[in-house]
Order: sequence, then C-alpha cells, then structure tokens
Amino acid sequence: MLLLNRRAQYYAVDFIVASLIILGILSLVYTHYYISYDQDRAVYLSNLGYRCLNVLAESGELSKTVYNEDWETLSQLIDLTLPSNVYFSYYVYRWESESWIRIVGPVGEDMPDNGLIVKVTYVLSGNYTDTSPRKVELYLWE
Amino acid sequence: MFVSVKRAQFYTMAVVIIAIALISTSIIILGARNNIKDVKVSEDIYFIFSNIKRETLERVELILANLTQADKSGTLTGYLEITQYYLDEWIECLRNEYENRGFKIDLSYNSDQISYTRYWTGNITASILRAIISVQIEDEDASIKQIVNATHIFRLYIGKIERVDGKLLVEVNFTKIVGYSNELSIDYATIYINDTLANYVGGGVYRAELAFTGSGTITIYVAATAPSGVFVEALETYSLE
Repeated sequence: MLLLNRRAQYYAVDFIVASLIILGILSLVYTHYYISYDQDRAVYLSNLGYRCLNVLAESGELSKTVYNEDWETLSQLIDLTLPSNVYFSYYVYRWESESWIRIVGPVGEDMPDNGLIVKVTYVLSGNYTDTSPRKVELYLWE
Repeated sequence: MFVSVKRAQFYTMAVVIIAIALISTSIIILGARNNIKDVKVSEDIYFIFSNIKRETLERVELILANLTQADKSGTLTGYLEITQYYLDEWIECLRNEYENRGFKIDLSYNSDQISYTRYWTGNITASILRAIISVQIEDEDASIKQIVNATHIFRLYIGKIERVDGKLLVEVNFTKIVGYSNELSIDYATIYINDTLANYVGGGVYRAELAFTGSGTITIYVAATAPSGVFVEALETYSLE
C-alpha cells in the first residue's frame, strides 16, 4: 500500500512537470508564430497600400479624383489595384487653417471590429483650381 | 486488478486535463491575437521621401501655372510673395503630417534662388519658375537629404501650318520641362487651336484641322488651358494664297 502511494506521488509529480513543459513550449510556439504572422501580413498590406496609392498618384488619377471629389471612381480604381481578398476603406482630408479637416470618409467597406488593419497615407500638393493640399488615409485588411 | 483500474483512471484524467489545458491556451492566444487592431509597421522612409519629392515638384508646377495665368490676365502683383506663400503652406502641411508620424522633416528654400521669367514672342511662348528646394527626412534608422532643382518650364509653340484639301492642319508643340528632365505634354492641360480642341498625337504634339476655304491671312491662336483657365498661349499669322 505504501509502495502504491509512493508510485502515485511519482506519477502526479511526473504529470505536473510534463504538463508545465508542454504548455510552456506550446505557448512560446503559438505566441511567436502569431506575432510573426501578424507582422508579416501587416508589412504585406502596408506595401500593397503604398503601391496602390503610388500607382494612382503617378498616373494623375489620385489627384484628379480627389480634387473632383469623385469618390465612386476613386473606390473603383483602388479596388482594381488591390487583390480581391484585400478590403479597404478610406478617408480624405483637406489642409485648412493649419490643420486637417475631414471632407469624406469612411468610404468603402465597413471596417471590422477585430483583426489586423493597416493604414497608409498619401499627401497631395494641390491642383490648378484648388491649391490646398489633401490627405488620403487608406485602411486595408484581409 | 484494483491497481490497474486506478492507474487507468489516472491516465484518463491526465489526458483529459492536458487536452482541456491545451484547448484553453489556444483559445486565450487566438482571442488575444484577434483583439490586436493595429500592428505597428515601420514606414518605408525611402518611399515617403520619393512621394514628398514628387508632390513638391507638383506644387511648384501649380505655382507656375497660377503665376502664368495671373500674369496673362494682368493681375500678377508679386511673383516672389505668391511663390513663397504657396511653398510655405506646403512645408507647414508636410511638417504637421510627418512629425505626427514620428519623422523629422525639413523642407527649406532660399528666396534669392527663386525667379520667374516668361517669353511671349508670338508663336513661341514660355513661362519659367526656378526654385531650389532642400528636402530632408529622417527617422530612427535613416536620414535622406536632397537638394531638388524644381525649375519648371511651360513651352508652347506652333510647329506646322499646312493647307490640306481645303482645311488648315495646325500642329502645336506643348512641353513641360521639370528640372532638367524633359516631360512631354501635361496631364491636365488641354490645347485649343482657334477654339477647336486639339488632339494629342504623342511626343508633345497636338493637332487640329480647321475649316478654312478662303484666301488672305489667318491668325492662329493657340491656348493651353487648365481647369482654372488659359495659362499659356501663342499667336501666329498665316498667309493663304
């Protein structure tokens, strides 16, 4: 009987130590994996966003649509530039009295409450009819 | 037998407890992950610098368009004050934006290096705004500085007038020169030749066919217009026999 009790104690200690080791290792692996996953996705989304705004700016379409306040066309152009599994929403601001005033937004999809969302920004210098700068804030998620 | 049953119960309990612990850990970690709304991504300073430079050049271009237009309409009072006003507003805007995003930014210019000149000699016209702007941006890891030659030239001239089958074919060359790189055409300008919208045929060349069957002299009037109005124009008289 005494031998059995002693053996049970060994089992219990074995079980507790093994559980702690397994949980510790799993926690480390999960945490590391998910942080690195999020960081990679964030960099990927951020690059996509910058590339999208850059392409539209170089072609002159970003300035044209923003200063004409043609949000439908701008949404279509952004949608065409991004992969189909990436969703977006954007805000546009006007520089006025030394601060940014929101003129539209959010335009696009409804932003989710949870998950990874990345923001990229582009500042436009003005055009012939309106010399006040504009700022486009583009939010991206998958 | 009794000992075997006890051991079996113990192992079953152990497996159940480990399974519950693993599931709980996974749920906690996944929940924490889904609550992360924004992951800090370091912004690409080279990309930002490139954007700032391009938009600063665009800013100088629109200043030139506005100066030229005011000059043409006889309302230009002081090109230096206007240029400085637009540049200062731009610099203040960028400083506000990028300092809030953790960058240190410095845009500066020397007003002695700003000049505006124009040549309006009939069939060839040009407007030139010279500006040298120093652009510097830095974050914790990198610093980029460049002196930008933001000289812009709008040049418009009537290249060819030909009579073809009772029509007058007019070709106009409109060029935008930024710094020392020659950019052909301009996105948001349109060219009118005697009030007829000219077609862009490439290489900075615009063409229009005018209906004209008579003889004598005709004045060709060409205007490059932006949405805000005419900003460069040229005139040439042509004799028809």
